[in-house]
Amino acid sequence: MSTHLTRTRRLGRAAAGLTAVAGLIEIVVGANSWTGDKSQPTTLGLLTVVLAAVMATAATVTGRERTSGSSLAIAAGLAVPALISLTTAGRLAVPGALLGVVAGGFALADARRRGSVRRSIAHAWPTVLVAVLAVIYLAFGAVAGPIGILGIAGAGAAVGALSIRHRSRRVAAAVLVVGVIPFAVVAWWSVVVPLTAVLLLVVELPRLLSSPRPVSAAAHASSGGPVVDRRIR
Amino acid sequence: MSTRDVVSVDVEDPHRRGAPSSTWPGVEPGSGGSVSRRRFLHRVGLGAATVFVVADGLLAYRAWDQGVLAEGTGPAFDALRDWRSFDGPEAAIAAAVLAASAHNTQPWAFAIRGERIEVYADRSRSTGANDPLMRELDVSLGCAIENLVLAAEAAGYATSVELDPPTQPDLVATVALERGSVVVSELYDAIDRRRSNRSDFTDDPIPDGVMASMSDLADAGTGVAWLHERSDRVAFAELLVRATRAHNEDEAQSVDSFAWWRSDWDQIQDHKDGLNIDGVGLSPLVRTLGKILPGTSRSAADETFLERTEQQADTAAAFGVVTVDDPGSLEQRLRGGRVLQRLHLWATANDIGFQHMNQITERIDRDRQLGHPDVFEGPLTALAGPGVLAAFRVGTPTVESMASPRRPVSEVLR
Repeated sequence: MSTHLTRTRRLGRAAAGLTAVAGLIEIVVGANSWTGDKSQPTTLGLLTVVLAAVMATAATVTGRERTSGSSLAIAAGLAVPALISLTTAGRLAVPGALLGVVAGGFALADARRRGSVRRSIAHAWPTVLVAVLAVIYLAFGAVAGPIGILGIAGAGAAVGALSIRHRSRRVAAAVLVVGVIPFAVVAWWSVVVPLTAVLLLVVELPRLLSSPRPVSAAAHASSGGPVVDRRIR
Repeated sequence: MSTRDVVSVDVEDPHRRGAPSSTWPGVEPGSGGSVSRRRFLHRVGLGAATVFVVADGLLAYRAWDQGVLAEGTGPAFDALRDWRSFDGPEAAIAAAVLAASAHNTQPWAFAIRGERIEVYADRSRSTGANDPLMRELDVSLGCAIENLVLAAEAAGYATSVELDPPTQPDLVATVALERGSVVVSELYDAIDRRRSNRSDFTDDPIPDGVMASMSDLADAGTGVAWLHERSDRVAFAELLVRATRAHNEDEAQSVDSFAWWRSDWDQIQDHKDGLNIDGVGLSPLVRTLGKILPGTSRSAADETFLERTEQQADTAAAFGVVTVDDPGSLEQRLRGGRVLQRLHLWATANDIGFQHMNQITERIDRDRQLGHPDVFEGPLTALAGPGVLAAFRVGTPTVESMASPRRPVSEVLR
């Protein structure tokens, strides 16, 4: 592994460790000016530990990526949780967040070396939208009491449908619909859950049902893809 | 094919650039910026989806921040979840903090002295111009004492209650505890389910037997009067609405009421008291919209208060009043408060909607404080008889009522 990837991995792990410690301290100590005087320190402490786990995962897979897009995903996996942790664990999260952002910056630089970041983002954009919507589903599922399991299942279905679409588009579409709709029905009055469900279906269903699109030559080349047959139509 | 796959890609024929059937009009042919119609539409669709997802994200953040779907959770509601986990005298206090109180002010404090619990009034938690003679505050303390006694008995104590002991001014009661038998009543089991239900009630009447059973809960020196005939209900409803209008026109009352309104989730979790939109008796959808939209102003809150009171008064199956010989006596207010709490718990145990209706008595005390001529006491006495301490309505709710925030035992122990 190259020196800069080793550096990214080490920084990412250190960031994850510091963030996890911040979360654990918030859980143990409770509301404190160092952790931002949160009204729900236990919940937010747990959330901080989860964010640290995401950072740790991103740091661990650093070096295995082969494309600009996967480097970009690692950069996001390091920097985004780091920034979010600033809102969940107050000042105590600052050291981990700083390291996380720096590590994310190194991963971003690596993504640039591998190809066009802009094209990678454009290529992955629909997936990013689905991920954002799935996170909203997951977040409301986590707080919604007994019916929340439907929200968590819905978020899992949204992500799972993307990963199985290469095997069977119809099954993937069915997983999405069956997974997403129940939470929207039982929490119809919450406005945001049914709206998120509609957006998930509108954004994701056409992607699942459509034939795999030919990949743009430039995007494919920039992401370290295979040889291209430049066929004029 | 070699191990390196060959992939078909969209590369436009330069000779076809600018052809109307395949490129977007207005794009300079050969400029290098030409975009196929399909790709243009794809980008527009993706852009629109992005806008909607961002808007949904902002809405979700607001809803999350306001506790939509998280009603009844967080530290403000821990006291409701944990109240059965206490032992000894603290078990009684854990139940006492779940009692009804005017505007959910929870104007109480407790001290454990060996096998005795002292109940104190926290007069800093009064509703000001709404309770100038401290009637509601004292009645609220009576409600807490009733819960305390029920929970002490369920914990295996025999209780002896002394109301208004002649010692410290804010010490309103002492409850002596002795080891006895465990008595778990249906009223005790209803303690954490008790809510003031402010929703509209259905047309279903309250059977006479129910009112008789509730009247039987009164102690010596207290009574329960019912206004269930249509003419009585209409007359009482008119008084209620007039009192609410007078409340809204009295700036001090309006301001002091609004001071106990918790308009966002953080306030609810921080203060653990007061009223919020979950307790107004609105449908779930309207409640959600109320949380997502910007916080309400005092005048808007007053208007809603009047509208809701009109609906509540109009849909009451019956009004009830707790009476005592002397509503100005602390001891009798506490006694009446205990009866009021008992009535509320009984209604809860029997799936009857119950809501405290304080507007008329608040205006009676406010007019007395200001030296205004009597507007409400005479008509109320004519309807319900003398000695009215507190009023309520009963019926079958149309909307399930939500839990109200509570200060935990640790915050009320001296």
